[in-house]
Amino acid sequence: MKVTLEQVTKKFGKTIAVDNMNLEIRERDFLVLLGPSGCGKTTTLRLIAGLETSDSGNIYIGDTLVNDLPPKDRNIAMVFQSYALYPYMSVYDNIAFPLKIRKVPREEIRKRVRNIAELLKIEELLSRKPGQLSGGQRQRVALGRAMVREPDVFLMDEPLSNLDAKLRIHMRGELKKMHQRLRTTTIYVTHDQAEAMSMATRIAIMDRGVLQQVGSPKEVYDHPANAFVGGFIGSPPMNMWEGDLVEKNGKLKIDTSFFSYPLPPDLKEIAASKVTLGVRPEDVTIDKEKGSNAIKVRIDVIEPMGRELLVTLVSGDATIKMITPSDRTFRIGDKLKIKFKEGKLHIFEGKPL
Amino acid sequence: MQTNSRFRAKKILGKILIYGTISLALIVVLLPLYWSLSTSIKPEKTILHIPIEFFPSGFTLSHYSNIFNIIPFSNYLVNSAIITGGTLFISLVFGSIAAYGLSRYKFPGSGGLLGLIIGARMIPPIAFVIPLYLMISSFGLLDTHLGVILTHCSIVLPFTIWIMKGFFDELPRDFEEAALVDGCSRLGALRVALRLALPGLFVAGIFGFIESWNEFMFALTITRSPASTTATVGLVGLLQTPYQIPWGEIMAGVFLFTLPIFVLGYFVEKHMARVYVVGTVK
Ligand SMILES: Nc1ncnc2c1ncn2[C@@H]1O[C@H](COP(=O)(O)OP(=O)(O)OP(=O)(O)O)[C@@H](O)[C@H]1O
Ligand SMILES: [Mg+2]
Repeated sequence: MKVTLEQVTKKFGKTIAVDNMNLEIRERDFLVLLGPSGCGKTTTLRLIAGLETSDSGNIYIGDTLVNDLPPKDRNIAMVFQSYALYPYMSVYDNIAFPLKIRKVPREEIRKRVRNIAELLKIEELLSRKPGQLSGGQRQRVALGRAMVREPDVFLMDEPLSNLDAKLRIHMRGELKKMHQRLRTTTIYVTHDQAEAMSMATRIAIMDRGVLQQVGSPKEVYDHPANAFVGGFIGSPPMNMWEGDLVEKNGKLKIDTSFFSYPLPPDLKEIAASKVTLGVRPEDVTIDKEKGSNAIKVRIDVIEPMGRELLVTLVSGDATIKMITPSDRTFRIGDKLKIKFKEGKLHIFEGKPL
Repeated sequence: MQTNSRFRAKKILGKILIYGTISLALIVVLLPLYWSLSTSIKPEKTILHIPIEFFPSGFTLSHYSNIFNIIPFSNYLVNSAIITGGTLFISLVFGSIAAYGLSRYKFPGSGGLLGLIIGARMIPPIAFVIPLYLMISSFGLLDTHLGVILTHCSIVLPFTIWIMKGFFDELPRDFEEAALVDGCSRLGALRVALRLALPGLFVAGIFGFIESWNEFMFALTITRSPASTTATVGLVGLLQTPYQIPWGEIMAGVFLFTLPIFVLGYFVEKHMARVYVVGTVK
């Protein structure tokens, strides 16, 4: 089932939590809502769930306008960050609860709870209370409670944030598998860009209530729409410098206060002259040719990251992060020349973050 | 070695202090109870005997049978039970719904309303005796159970609201919201919240029970006849007996009257520890 947000705005007093949002979540999407803390992700999710009412705009689930429908009539299921398992009910009763409310016959309930429990490998936990479960087990029960009803849309609010790093990675995979099997439209909130990149079929990036870009993980990584998206996605973050776009002898270049660098002609359409140049650390390479436009730098910090090295370079007051294979040996203080990989330069209008 | 024995001595001293304090507190609390029990089983002649008989020299149960003959004491106990039950029912049902509303919805004046409710609770009840009497009288509820119940609710209901609002405030909304998404209506979500705030209901219930069961002043002004008179009022009435005050019967009545509170205390004590743990919501 697809979900459509049309010019949706939600204010809390003076705070605009969601600002004129237009977003279409396609059928079978695993859409990740990504953004820094307080940008309005949870609010967006709660608007779709019907736990908040918007100040203006329309929300559709499928083709139904749901603005005035209470949560129970939206056929959505939600996994809360806290899991919100009913502490006084057994795991079985927790999972069965949505069916009991809907007066599903007892035999049918038993069958479906067993199926879900088998799927999530929690059969032997069914008689326990949520208080007697580990974080990962609780997460699975919460998922089970959401899945048992076969809803049209899954809403998940940072369901993995309470788990330790290893379990989190494991559950990412499990959730992805689950989505591939059930194919239910899923809207998943996180502020962890790595989680978003690894799970999403599409990512929607928000900042201060405003939707910044929607696209596949590859699209938003390779073609960030603005400096915010460029800086938010990718770790370590993109290098950024403010500069002026200048054209001389038919050739385009950018002048920053530290260096000047030629740009390919296809970046010409940008209207503003004050721009930001963004280059990902893995797109910074060492230049061995003589007499090129290379930037002269000095090595300041070297951080081994296993297979690769994260090298911090300085040129005047500018710092440049570079990721390079660790088969070369570097010493702090070494002088180098660097250049940027062709076709990997990002020019954004306005100032960097 | 030296320090070890000094440490031991300190520990023993500490224990003596602890047990000493507890014993003192126990004596203060239990002495009146013991006195009513021992007086109630002393034969008539020895009750006012001088020197005081701390340990009864004789034993009789006649006061216990007399109390039911000289006044309609069983009526009084039943009245007390009905009034306490009614007060609890009204206060817990309406109190928890009101508290839920105050906790979950902000509306113009909601803060002031809570202040008013708690404020009403802090004014000494005696200030309300006359206005309440006039109200109950104009409702035509003098000398009825409902009349007394309503006056008791004026004390117990605000307290219930206050306690339950505290519990609801502590309760994460996630549970109710999960219930809403799972298919409950608002009322269904309230049921989930109530189930989670059960310890609060328990605390408010115990308080309401004690308050209503022991209440004297309002009951005295509203009741007239055995149809509605409570045990507190009935027992005090015995003090007005001409010639000789029937101390043995009064004490027997007092002991029977306090018994439910002790039974309650016994059961509550076992649950109380759990109440404190669950009350902090996990
Ligand atoms: N009930 C509320 N009352 C007032 N302000 C609120 C309320 N809920 C959210 N806000 C505000 O709206 C903005 C967006 O909040 P929201 O919870 O949607 O952020 P988020 O993106 O989910 O952040 P996080 O990653 O920290 O969970 C924040 O500025 C927040 O303070
Ligand atoms: Mg959030």
